[in-house]
Formats: sequence, C-alpha cells, structure tokens
Amino acid sequence: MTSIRLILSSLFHYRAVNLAVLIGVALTSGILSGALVVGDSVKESLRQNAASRISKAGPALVGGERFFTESLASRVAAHSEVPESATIAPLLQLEGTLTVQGKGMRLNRVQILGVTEAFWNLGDSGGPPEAISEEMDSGNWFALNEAAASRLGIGEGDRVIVRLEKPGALSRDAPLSGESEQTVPLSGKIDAVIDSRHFGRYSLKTEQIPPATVFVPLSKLQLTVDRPGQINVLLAGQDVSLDALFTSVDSAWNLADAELHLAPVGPEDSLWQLSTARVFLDDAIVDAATSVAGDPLDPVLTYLVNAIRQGDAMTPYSMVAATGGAVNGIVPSDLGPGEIIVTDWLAEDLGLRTGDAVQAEYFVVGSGRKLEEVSTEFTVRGIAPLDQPQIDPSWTPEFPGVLEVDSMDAWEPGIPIDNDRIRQKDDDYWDDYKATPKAFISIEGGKKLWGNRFGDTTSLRFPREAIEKSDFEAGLKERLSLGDLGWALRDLRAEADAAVSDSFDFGQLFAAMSFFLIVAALTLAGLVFLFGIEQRASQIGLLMSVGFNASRIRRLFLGEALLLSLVGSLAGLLGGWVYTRLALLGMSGAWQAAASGIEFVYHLRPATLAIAVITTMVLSLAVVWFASRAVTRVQPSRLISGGGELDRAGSGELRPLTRTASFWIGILSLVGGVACLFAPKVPGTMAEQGLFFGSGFLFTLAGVCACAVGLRALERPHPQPASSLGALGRQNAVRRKGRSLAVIGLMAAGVFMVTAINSFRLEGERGAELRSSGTGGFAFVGESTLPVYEDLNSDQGREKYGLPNQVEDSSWEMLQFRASKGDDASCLNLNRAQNPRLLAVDPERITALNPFSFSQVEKSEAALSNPWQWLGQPAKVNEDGLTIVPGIIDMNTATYALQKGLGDVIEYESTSGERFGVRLVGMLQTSILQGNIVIPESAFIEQFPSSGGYQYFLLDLENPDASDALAGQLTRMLGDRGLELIPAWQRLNEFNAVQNTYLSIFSTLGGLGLLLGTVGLAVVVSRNVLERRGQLGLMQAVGFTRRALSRMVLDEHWFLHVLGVAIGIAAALIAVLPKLMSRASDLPLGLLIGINAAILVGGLLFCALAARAVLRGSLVEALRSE
Amino acid sequence: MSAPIVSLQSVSKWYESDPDRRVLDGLDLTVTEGERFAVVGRSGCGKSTLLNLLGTLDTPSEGEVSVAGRSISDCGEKALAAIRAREIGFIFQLHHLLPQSTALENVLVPTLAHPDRPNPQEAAEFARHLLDRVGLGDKCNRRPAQLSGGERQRVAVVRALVNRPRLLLADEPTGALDETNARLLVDLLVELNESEDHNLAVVMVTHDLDLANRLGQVRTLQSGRFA
Repeated sequence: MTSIRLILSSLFHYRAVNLAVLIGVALTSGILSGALVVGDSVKESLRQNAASRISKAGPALVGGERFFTESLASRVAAHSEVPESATIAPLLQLEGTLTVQGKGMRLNRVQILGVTEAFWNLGDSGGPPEAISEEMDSGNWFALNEAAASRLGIGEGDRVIVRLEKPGALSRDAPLSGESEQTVPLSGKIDAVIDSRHFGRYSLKTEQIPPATVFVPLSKLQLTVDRPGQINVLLAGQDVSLDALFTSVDSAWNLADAELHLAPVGPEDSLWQLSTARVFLDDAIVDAATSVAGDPLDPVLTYLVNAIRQGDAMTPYSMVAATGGAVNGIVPSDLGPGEIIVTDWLAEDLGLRTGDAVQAEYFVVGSGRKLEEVSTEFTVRGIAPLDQPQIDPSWTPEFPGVLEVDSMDAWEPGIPIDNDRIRQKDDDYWDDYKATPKAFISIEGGKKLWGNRFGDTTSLRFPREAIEKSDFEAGLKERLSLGDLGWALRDLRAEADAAVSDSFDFGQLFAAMSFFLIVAALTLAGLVFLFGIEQRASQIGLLMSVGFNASRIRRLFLGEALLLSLVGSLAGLLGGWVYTRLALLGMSGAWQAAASGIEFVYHLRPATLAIAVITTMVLSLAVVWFASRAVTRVQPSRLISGGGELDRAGSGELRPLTRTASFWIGILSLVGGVACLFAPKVPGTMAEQGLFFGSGFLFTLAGVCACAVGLRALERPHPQPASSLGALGRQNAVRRKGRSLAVIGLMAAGVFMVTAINSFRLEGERGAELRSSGTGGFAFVGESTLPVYEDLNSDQGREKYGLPNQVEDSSWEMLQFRASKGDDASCLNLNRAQNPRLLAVDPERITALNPFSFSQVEKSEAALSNPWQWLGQPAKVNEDGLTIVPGIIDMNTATYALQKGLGDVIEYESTSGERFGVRLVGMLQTSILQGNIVIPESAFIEQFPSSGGYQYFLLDLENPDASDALAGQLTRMLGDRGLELIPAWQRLNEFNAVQNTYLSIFSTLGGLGLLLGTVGLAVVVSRNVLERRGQLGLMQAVGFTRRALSRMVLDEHWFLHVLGVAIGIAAALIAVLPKLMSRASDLPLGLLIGINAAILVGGLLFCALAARAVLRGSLVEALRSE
Repeated sequence: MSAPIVSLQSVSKWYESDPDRRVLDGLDLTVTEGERFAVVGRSGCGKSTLLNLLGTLDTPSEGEVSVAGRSISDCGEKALAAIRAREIGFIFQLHHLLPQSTALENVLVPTLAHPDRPNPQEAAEFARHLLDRVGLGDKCNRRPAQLSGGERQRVAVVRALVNRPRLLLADEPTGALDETNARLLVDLLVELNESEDHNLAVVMVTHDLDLANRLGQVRTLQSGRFA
C-alpha cells in the first residue's frame, strides 16, 4: 500500500464525484485556454494583416511633404551597402478624393500612389497584376485596390475621377506660397482591382483597415501634379536593412534631392547663390551652409512689398531684398535697420532723394494663415543704378505663381493682389527686369520684418573662388542629417511588429469577460469536491486516528486533485478550441464592431495552452486546498462519530449575520441605493455609470439582507405549525441559513451583474446637445481629405466657399484643427498606434467653448477654472533639452490604446527631425476626440511648420434643427477639399459601439456563466437532500409519498432560486431605470430577457433533476443505516 | 512493574455547547503495558470521551494527559499524529474501512502514517500474518463490500494492530455485530492481549456487561468518574 495507490483507488472508487470535478476543471481550462487563444488568434490575424500591409517591403525613406528626385532610388540601389538583388521602389504618395464618373459617389481620404514596376515586385506575388502587366511600359493604366472598389461598389471597366491637390513648394500657410487649393483631376478606366497578394493593402499607417488606394503610373502622377521626376517615398525590400538604407541614402543624396540649387550669380558669376525651390531655406541648412562656405557670406531675404510710398506717390508690388554687406557690393555693411537703398528706377518713380523717408507696406502672417498688412518707414540711404551687374532677378526666389507668369496681371502669389494698382510702367518693369528687387535693406532689418515660421532666409551668397561646388556639397552633406532635410527613415517591419505585439490584448479581455464562466466552473468543481470530501468525513477521521496529520491528509486530497486537474485541464483544451472558434465567429459577425476590418484566423501558441493548463491546475488545486482545509480542521473524533454531517463551523459555510445586523445593513443599503439613484449626474460619464451601478448593488444587498431577516424569523418557533409540505420545505431553508443566503446572494449578484452591466452601454444621442457630453455639444464632426486653409468663421473664408453666415436663422461656428499624419489611436484601431495623430487647436477658441468633460486634469493654477486653459501654457524645455508641449487626450485612448497616464510624455519627431514631447495634462471622458491628442496650434506650427491648413472640424450650431441643412451646404461647397461631415453623436456611437460590443460579449459569457452556476445550485440541492436522506426516509415511513417529498425539496430550493433571481432582476431594473425611461430600445432587452429566463428556467430544471436523482433508491434504507 | 502507556491526571472535560455539564470530572487513570479492561456506563456518561482522550483524538478541558511519559499539551498536531501512529490502535463501532481499497490495503493504511515508514514488504507480510490469524488470510484482496460485517470489523482490528501499537482502544467495537461475531471479536481482543509477542494493553468501551466481563476487568464510569 502506498499513498499513490491510495490516491488512485480513491479516484476510481469515487468516480462519479470525480467525473463532475473533472468536468468543472475541463470547463475552466476550456474557457481559459479558449479566451487566451482568442488573444493569440487576434494577434496573429493582426500580424498577417500587417504582413499584407507591408508585404516584402522593409525600411522606407519618407519625405511626406518634402520631395526628392526619383533618381535617388537608382543611386541608393547602386550603393555597396544595398544588396544587388534588392528592390528600391520610388513612390509618389499623395491623398485625394475618388468619384465614380456619372454616379456621383465619392470616397474621401483616398491614398493616391504613383508607382513603377519596382513597387509590384515588393508584393507577395513578386510582379504586377496580370491585367496591367502589359501596360507597365506604356505608362497608361489605372488601378484601385479592393478596399476602394468594394467601398464604391465598382470594378474593372468603371470610369473614376481622382481629385488631388498639387503639392505646393512650401506650406500653403506661408506668405507668397502661391494660389491655394489648386486641385487637379486625374481620370481613367479601371484596368485592375489590386488584391493583397499584389500589395493592394499597402499603407504606412499601423492600422488594420486598409486605406482606399488608387494606383497610377508614377510618371503620370508626377506630370499631373507638376512634380516631374520627383517622389516622396523610397520603399526598400525586406532584404535591405535599416542601417543599409540609412548609409546608402546618406551617401547618395545630392542638392537636388534636398530641393537646393547652387548657382553662379552676380558680376561675372563671381558668387555662389544657394537657394531652394521651397522659397525659404531651413535653419539647419542655413547653419550648415554658412559653416561650409565660411566668411564672407551674405544671407538674403527677398520679400514682396505691396506698396512703397512717398507722399502721394506709390509704387505697387515690388520685390525688396534684405541682405548683408559682405559680398554683394550693393548694401554697405553699416546699413541700419531703418535705412534703405533704392534703385534709380524706384527713386525716379517716387521722386526720391537720399535722406527721404519712404513707407513700405507688406503682409505678415498672423495666426494660422491670417495676413496682416504692416507699414514700416525707411530712410533712403542711397540710390543704386538698376543696370549695374549686381542687381538682377536672381535675388528673388521662385515664388510660386509669380516668376512663371508673363505679366503682373497673371500673378497668383497667394496674397490678395489689387490689379487696379498695377500701372503700365509696372508691367514694363516686369517685362524688362522680372522680379529684380527695386530696393535693398539690411538683413537684420529684413529678418525682423519678414522672418516667419517658415524661415528667414531665401538664399545665401558667397564668393565662388572660396569653394568648389563639389566641396560645398560634400561639406553640406557632412553637416546635415536626413532629419534636417525633413526626411524620416522608417523600419516598417519593426513598426508593424511593435504595433501588433503591443496591441490590445483580446486574450485578457475574453478571459476577463469569461470571469463568471470561470468562477462558475471552478465553484462547481470546488463544490462537488467539497461535498465529496464531506462524504468521506469518517475516512478522514479514521486516517487522523491512525496517525495521519491534517496536512498529510490534505496532500492526499491534493494528490487526487492534481491528477484530476491535469486530466481535466488537458481535456478542456478541446473545449477551448470550440470556445475560440465561436468567439472568432462572433467577432466576425455579431460582435464585429469590436474588431472591424480584419479577417480572423485561428492561431495558438503552445505556451498559451501551457499557461491555461497550469493556471487551471493552480486554481483548481487552490479551490481543493481550501475545501479540504475546512474539513481537516474538524476534530477527528467528531468526524468519526458525525460521518457526513459536519460541524457547521468547520464546513466553510458562511456564517449568517445576526437579525439586527442584517436589518440595519439592509436599511442602510436601501437608503444608499436610493441616494445613488437620485444623485445628480452628467449623462455618459463614468460617475453616472458608477452611481447607477452602485444603486443596483446596494439594492441587491438590501434584498439579501431582507432574506436574512426573513430566514431568522422562520427560525423562531411558530405558534402555528407548518400547514403544508411546501411551508415545511421553506422552513428547511433555515437549517443551513448560510448556504441558503449564499444561494440567494450569488444568484442575485450574478443576475444583477449581467443585467445591470448593460447600463454601461453608451449612447451618443443622450445629452448630445450638452457641452459636457461626449459630443462636446457640437452638431457635426468633419474631416477633409485636403486641408482647408481659410478660417471658416471669417467673412473672407465664408465668402471664398460661398457659405452663408446664417442657416435657417441659426448662426454657426467651426472649431478647426490642424492634423498631423499620425495613426488612429482610437479603439477602432486594434494595433498599438505608433504615432498617435495630433490635433492642433486655437486654445482661446476651445477654452471659450469649454467642451467635453474631463476625468482627470493635472493641477495648475493657470487652468483651475477651465482645463482647456492648459493649452494656453507655453511650451517648456525639460532637463533633457526636450521641448514639452501640453496635450489633452481622451481617457480611453490614453489608458487602453496608448497605456499612458496623466503627466506622461509621448515623444514625436518634428518636420526637422528633432524630438519633442507632448505631456498629457488632461484626460477627457469618452468623447468624439478619441484617438487623437489635442495640442496648442502654435506648438503644432512650430514643430510642423511645413504642414498647412485644417483637416479636422467641429461644427457648432445655435439651432440644432438647422444642422442638416448647413452640413449639406458645407459638404457641397467644400466638396473639392473632400470634406465629410457626420453628426457628432453618430461618431460618438461609432466609438461607443466597441464598448457596447464588449458589453454584449460580457452579457453573453456572463449569462452562460450564470447558467453554469445554476448547475452548482443543483449540486447544493443534491447535497442538502443527501444530508437529510434519513429524515426523508422517516417521512416516507410515516406515510408521505416520494412525489410529495420531491415537491417539498423543490419548494425549498425553487424558493431560494426564484428569490435570488427576483432580487437580482429588481436591483438591475432599478439600475437601468433611467435608461428604460429614456430609450428602452437601446437596451438589448431581448438578450437580457433571454439570459434571465434561461437562468430562471435552468435553475428550476437543474433543481428538479438533482432532487429526482438523489431521491431515487430506498429512503427507508437510509433511515435504517442512520 | 509494567510501564505506563497513557495516564490521565485530574482530567475534566466539558463542551462549549454545555459548559455546566462535566462529562469527565477530575478523572485519574493510568493504562500500563499488557493491561486489559472494559469501561462501561450509561449512555452519555463519557465513555467515548474518555477513549478519545486516551487516544489523543481530543484534548481535556482541564487536567493532563500523558502518553509514554510525555504530556500531550506540549505536543503539536504533527507530534500527536505521530504518537497515535506509533503507540495507539483504534477500533470503532463502525469499521470505517476505505471502500475503494482491499482488506490488505486497508490494513496497511496506518503504515503510511508511521513516522519510521516501515519497510513496505515487511509491513505487507505482517499484515497478511495478522489477517491470517483472524481467519481472513484468504480474503486479503477483497474489498469491504465483499466482506461480511464480522469480517469487516476483524479487518478493522487488524488495521489497528498493524503498526504494533502498545495500546488498543476499542469504542463499542461490537455495536454493529451480531452476538456471535461480537463474542468472537472480544475473544480476539483478549487473545491479542495475552499473546506474548504484543504485550498489548486493551481498553474497550461497551454497554454490554457480558462482553465487558469477558475482558476480565470492568470499570464503571458514573458522573464523570470511575465508580
């Protein structure tokens, strides 16, 4: 005889009980492994999604709004660090709108890709789609990806029009950036619909929903947007490492790639002039070039002056150059900031002499794109002859819309031009001298007057004899990083891996939502095991009497449990497979809102199964250990003499409170519940949900306390004996008050939880008009494909788009946001956003409106009354030299998508490649701003000076009834910009749908858990009857029929079960009462009624089955054995 | 003079549920090696309580219980379990055999609890010998359900002896047996007590005076004391 043998024989002998335990353990393992494998499967699905997004691509050089030459691709490919067989694909990646010709259907925010054959080589198929492969050389084909085709419901042969904006030389916000909104069409017949095998899901964003994409030949797109030979993305194959791409690009780039020109200028071409197609030289380039060229060097800032006046005389629209006196030979080195050198042409036009005062009027950029005309007075220091060789048009940069036109009438410099001012002599000047400056001022004065966020230098001039072009280029490359040029090197594979591995863990989510199921299964296993142990109480007593100590006996039981849990856990894995399949099926169907845009695959990791098995075993053993601990605490002599009837104190049963304590706890709970119910609350907030939930919970507790008082009352001797078998049965509930109250309490709590949890359902419509709600009180939220550069609240902006100031007697305002090209960090993106989108707003405007509710705000005296005031705080530099700007974020985005808290800093890269941080100073309760971080507009402009315009809008309306009419008008008038407006409550509901779907999943799984819990109730029934078989035998002996006894048993347990369910439903109804009164249809009444009915009926049924099973056999025999 | 195995000094016992009623009241008793006696008395007079105290299954409310000269109040749960495994064998009114185990396995269960872990083969041989001695040598591999009431109780006796205890405590061991089997069982106890190789002390609680007399010495418990 050995302990192992004893364990094995016990396992076999008590096989019925052990089988029940095994089922409980297997259920636990199945649920747990199934839930965790859901996580594996979602991650693998995301991984495959990411893999199809980047296919065989590896690292990429992304210019964004900076363009480099297409030939850089071949130079990089030829570099020794890059494998010979590697693919380097040049791309021109833009955004636009897509409409179906003749059908009026429009798709906004479409990715427009100009590609060469190299791009298709990076797809899994390794070549172009068959339908267009023959057209590759002709450069005459047109294709859409499946996402675009399916969203528009079109296919091969349909004709479509793409509308996109010509990329400007510099930000449209910049002065003299040329005429804005130059959109150009690109139309064609669809030759192919590109699937994922052919790289149809290509995207640089870490999002699972593929963007709608149009593919056209690179050369065609370049011509369409007037960017011949230019690209803005270099996509390398996965056989090229990030380091190799960096080294090769760093070595291969030239001045043309950086849009820089080094040209000889001045008398006899004695000077080099470094200028840029982007008009303003970046500070980093100025610094580097100054360092390379050395002294002497003159920076130049040439600007368009609206008018130069002396008295009544005025010369319109003149270029004035600010420069130093080192090499130019025009401006004396001691020229003061208030002095000006005028050409003899200008002197003659205005009748100027040395020492005269002149007024110069010019535009400067205010906030956003607002132009303000400013006037400055200068004193004429000298008059320079216009025909001297130093004065020529080379001083003026290539202002878009100016230099390429023949006459001044055709100017489109991006600032208002009054053509009436232009005289014949001005046109003549243009014909003869083009953009040659008419005056010169000091560079210090010029920078002060015309320096702006885009730069304060339009060119640099230095002697040619000082340096060769090749040496200058080499020196510049040595001093400039790729970031200084505004280029970003991205490791797409690493980003995809990080986005997937840090993504939302559905395994944990499902495990958490299966909590009730797991608890029910474990409770079932524990209950059965405990009752099994109680059945063997005399054995335990005997073992103790022959010298086994308590821990040894527990080890024996644990030995049994270990084998049971091992076998049960392994067997449960099969159930886990079913669970995962069903969950994935649910997420592809009814629960699609929780994980849209993804095709799920079943995938498991052996480690996950091991975790599930080990966790189940540990949990099961813990339950068994607690169960056996209770029994082995009882004195052996009592175990021997008492048999199965254990001492109450030792059986681990709940000790019911005294009647008085129960009464007062019940009263206090009732009062608390009522207080929670009527406490003031803001719709859609956590506080509202907390109070509803709290009131329901307290009502449940009050109900259970009332039952406790009732049971105590039943315990007292009654003058009238029980008049029926049912009454006698209900009196039996008093026998084990703790057990009875536990049944009521657990049922009530479970029913309440599953039902009331639905009060957490979020509804965007409720209170949508309130500023404090999740919509912020805004009527519509909109996004545009192309930036809107105007302030739509200004007369100028409204006039431009033909927008009325009032619609149906309602005035309106637009809160406009600049937007970075980041990832969607909302709950709709299952990936971990690597670069959450920044929205920039005017702090004063948003502070005045004070929309949304904050859940947390960092304390600041400056923002005591209104947390939005935080955005008015200036940026700070931290101890690491990092510029820190304040940011406000939706709490869900911070907590779940980014896993950040208040005070955390999220780092970004600015256009110039410098790092800066956004410090989270406030968190919004669930809002339409989910997925974004809001920062001050000024900070955004400073970090991203080259990006222009607004792309995110919140429409505020005085009269909500006018909202549809206005939205329709706005969408129509701003159609070219791809503006799409949707009601704010609808957007909020899109986000809410995710949470609501989680609640549906919880309701379903929790309901199943409760149903399983009713099986536990059946076990309790069995136990209660088994304990009293002797009593029941006696009743049979004195004449009761088996049927009567069965009814008595059922009356007792149905009474407890129905009481528990009724209390739970009542408490839950109170919790969701406000919702029922407002919008009953928003509650899943069908689901809730179904779940509760199943629990009620299931409990009654299981009680009946259990009673029937244990009342079988000879009860009189049981009496005899007692 | 024989060595004392268990001694009770001024032992009183009452239960929390009824603290005013002393089940045992200042009782003194020493059980020495080879001694044999029966304890009789009315129902509720404290016979089983006395036996539980002698067997260290219960602790006195007052007074001291010593086993092999060591006070049990100094012993922890493990030490008491070891004392029971080494020194004491129990027979109860019900056999409490493990239904899942054979007769031989049931007999061997106490060997698993013995602190010295006897050699399994030797223990099994000894158990067979004992079963043979009580006439069950051919039923070693039968489970309790396959044995008669008398046979089950004999297996329980053998189980009590397998660790070679010095004291055998029998609590109404014949309560579930018919007259013949009851007499046979008591005779077996006497035989075991008288056999030289055991030097076993036997204390039996019974309400049957005839059976008590078969043990030779009878002590009557009355109002918590020996009359």
